[in-house]
Amino acid sequence: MSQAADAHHGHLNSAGEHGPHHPVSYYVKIWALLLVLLVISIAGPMLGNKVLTLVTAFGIAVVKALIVAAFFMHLNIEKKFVWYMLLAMLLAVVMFFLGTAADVMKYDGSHWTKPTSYLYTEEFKKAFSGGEEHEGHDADEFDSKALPNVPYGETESHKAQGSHKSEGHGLPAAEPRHGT
Amino acid sequence: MAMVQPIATRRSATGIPTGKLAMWWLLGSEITIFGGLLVSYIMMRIMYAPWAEAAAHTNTLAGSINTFVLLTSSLFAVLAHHAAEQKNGKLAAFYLWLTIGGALTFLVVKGLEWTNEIRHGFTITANSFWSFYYTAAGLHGLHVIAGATAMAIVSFDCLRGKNLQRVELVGIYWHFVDIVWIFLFPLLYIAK
Amino acid sequence: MTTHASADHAHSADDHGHHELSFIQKYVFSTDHKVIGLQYFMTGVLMGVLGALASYVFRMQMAFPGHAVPGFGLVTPQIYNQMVTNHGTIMIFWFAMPVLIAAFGNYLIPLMIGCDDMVFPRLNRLSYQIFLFSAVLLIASFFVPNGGFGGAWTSYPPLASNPIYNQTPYGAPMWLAAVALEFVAFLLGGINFITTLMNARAPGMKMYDIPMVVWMIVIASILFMASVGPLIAGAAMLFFDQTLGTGFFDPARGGDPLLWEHLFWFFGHPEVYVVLLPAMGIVAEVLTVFARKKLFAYRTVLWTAVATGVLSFFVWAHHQFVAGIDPRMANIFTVTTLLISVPITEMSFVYIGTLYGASIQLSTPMLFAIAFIVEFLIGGVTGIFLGASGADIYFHDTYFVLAHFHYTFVPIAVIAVFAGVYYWFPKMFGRYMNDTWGRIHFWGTAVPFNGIFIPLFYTGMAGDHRRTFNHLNFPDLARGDLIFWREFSTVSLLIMLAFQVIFFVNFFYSMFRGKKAPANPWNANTFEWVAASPPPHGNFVTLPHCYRGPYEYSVPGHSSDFWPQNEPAPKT
Repeated sequence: MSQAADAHHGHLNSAGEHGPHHPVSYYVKIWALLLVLLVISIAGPMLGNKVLTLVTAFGIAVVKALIVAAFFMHLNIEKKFVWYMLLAMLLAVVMFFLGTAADVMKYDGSHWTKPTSYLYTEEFKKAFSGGEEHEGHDADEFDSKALPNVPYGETESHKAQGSHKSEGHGLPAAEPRHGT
Repeated sequence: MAMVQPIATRRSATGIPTGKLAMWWLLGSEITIFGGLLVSYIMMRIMYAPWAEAAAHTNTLAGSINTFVLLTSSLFAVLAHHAAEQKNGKLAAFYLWLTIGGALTFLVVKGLEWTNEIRHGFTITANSFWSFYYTAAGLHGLHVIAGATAMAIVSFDCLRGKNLQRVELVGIYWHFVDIVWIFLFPLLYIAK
Repeated sequence: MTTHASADHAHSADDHGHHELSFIQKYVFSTDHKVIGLQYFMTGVLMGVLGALASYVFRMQMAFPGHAVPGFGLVTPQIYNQMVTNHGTIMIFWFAMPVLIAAFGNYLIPLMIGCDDMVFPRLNRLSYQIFLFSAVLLIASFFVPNGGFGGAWTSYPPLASNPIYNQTPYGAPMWLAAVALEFVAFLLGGINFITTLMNARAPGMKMYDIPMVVWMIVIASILFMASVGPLIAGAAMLFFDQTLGTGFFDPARGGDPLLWEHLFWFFGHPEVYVVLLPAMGIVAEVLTVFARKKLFAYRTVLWTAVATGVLSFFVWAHHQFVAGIDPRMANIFTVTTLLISVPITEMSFVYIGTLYGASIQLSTPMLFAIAFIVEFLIGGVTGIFLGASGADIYFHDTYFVLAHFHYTFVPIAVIAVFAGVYYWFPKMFGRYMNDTWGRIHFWGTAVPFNGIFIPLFYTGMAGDHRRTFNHLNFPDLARGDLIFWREFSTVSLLIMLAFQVIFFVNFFYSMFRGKKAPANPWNANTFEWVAASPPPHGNFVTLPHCYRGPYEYSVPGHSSDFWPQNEPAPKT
């Protein structure tokens, strides 16, 4: 079925109809730039500054991703709406974060507690480690037997599935943690 | 069964070729998949400061090598597209095979890295950090395999000078895989 | 001029080089969008029958606890949970979505935008094959040791994540894998729908010339795509929890069960609109044709649908008001939830406005379309109580909630689908369905449907909780009036199910023996009626050109009361 009606629709499926016409060296330069950024992002954390680490690690990741998207994926010459579509998808993910973070980034809800996360809180460490607290102390190292009033169920070291007990659900409040 | 190409496949009311348009939507859906996983990870990572200690055991060197490998393979992918634009199917296929080489290198490095970690007891059930580590990197690894497979299929067409527009499509997909890794790298390896 | 030409050339087009295909090539491995649409439809309806039979089993248990269910046997608590879980899962993922989006989408989109197929015919076939595999996997999960998954269609951890709790070490992962595969199938299908609408429209078809049902299906596909990603990631996490023993959702091991609820409902609420919008679209088509009137405020409907879609991403946590979420978030989500009733109300008003002053023909599809609006309004209004977090604390997980969402889902997935089937049946098979039996079927569906769920509002307010195996175990709930209404509801269900037999007989009888239908039996405007009935491979003899919007009915000064989109304006 030949379709004269379709004649005025562009037949754009052939390669490079409106593609970019850059020399190879153009792409090599972008690649070199990406490598420089990679080196910076690896070197940044070695200085040991936390803020600097975050900036170099994630700031540069964003820059790198934008460079790849714009110049390698050729989003710089793509129709604008593709940007908007991809950003909208990203926005959906951000929306998910905003609605969820308030709950997931809490140590306990109104009906339950996360026993393991409870171990990680500073209050807990202060209360049960006898004040001698050194930085980077792994919560797993707490001796559960020394804490009779806190039946916090399993720690991460209990890997077997069968060891779940009901006390994994509701931690009887060792101290009232969620205020009135 | 010889399939007649429907007229539909040749229309382009938006001005974007259909294959490319579908690739953008595919990437849109991939963004939400990886986004959901990484957002879940980030929330717990921020909350649990001690995860930094688990993260300290990841092999930054292996991660860096893999970032380098993927960035370089992305370069090859864009050069393959460049060659396909000039209707040079053989050169495009050559660059695609270099890209696939990058994918294989990535997987080998990943395999060595994981073997080493598992031997040290850092399995997927070791703790939540390692669960996320293997899930996120594993999901990404599946995309690497899928991308390499797609490029292999396209490269055979290229040798015969057919379907050269597909080089750009697998290229775009490959760059996306690269971008995902660009974010996984700091999340799993650098920020400690 | 081309309007009626296509019917005459139907045979020549059909014989044009396609008769060498064998039955299997034509109906099993076809890449033709119409065949795939019908495959989706048949599979979806078959799964819907399974879901309906599951509801028969557990409703009988609700009304007559302890008695063997005729045709099934004694219901144990484990079986009861499996039936409830898989009823919900099947009805939403394997009935509502495939029929409303995939079946109608595949069948209608290329026809309605004046094109010969989808832009990716083989991707389309792959999508169906993955879907079919997922359906088989779900059914297979009943036959593994310990039976199918029984942890509710929301599959909350730790119940879902730990085989010690859910007692289905094989059923639960299979259920989850089936759901995830189904998502993949619909992502592929959705990409196809969106791309087809964007790129393969008929020449001259502008944004506001696209029929509403096509818009709605595509908007729904976009919503699905934007919302399902986190849940696919979450399904992988839950799968590892079930099979490998990770602790993503286990609070004892640093995970978070609320994370799953968020992952699930971030998808789960937009999902409601994913199935609602195509139903709204079908109703818009049916209403305008049988009201012989232009769709009131086309652009308002379109942009309202877009607004609904956007808003649907802001409301999901109203499913979790009693799950222990942050009360500050509950405030926010209450406001957004109440807000989303505004666009939906607006759409309902627009549809009622379309009926105002129209010359209504009460044909079977029209009856179903009007019933959709009426019944859906009840579902919407009862949702207001549940959206308010204060009231929801009492209502949550009672039969009130159940009745509310069945008042939304049944109009969507049953009543609107029937409207669509009766309306497009002449196009699909070239024959009419019997109108008298159609009306009998209509009254036998719409009336008992209210009989099922209105009593459940009452029992819910009296305290009946969902997923309770036997209410008589609770002295407060063993009251005579509650027992009566539970039995009333079950009997209504039996009546409604019995009337569906009429539909199936009518459907299959009419498919082969019904009265022959012309290409455009309803005098409708959209492109699918330009093609022959049933459309041959390739759909149109000459691909149509679009000259005007889809709802130009009773245009003053025009010779007939409809004005097909493909007819050029007379030269003046």
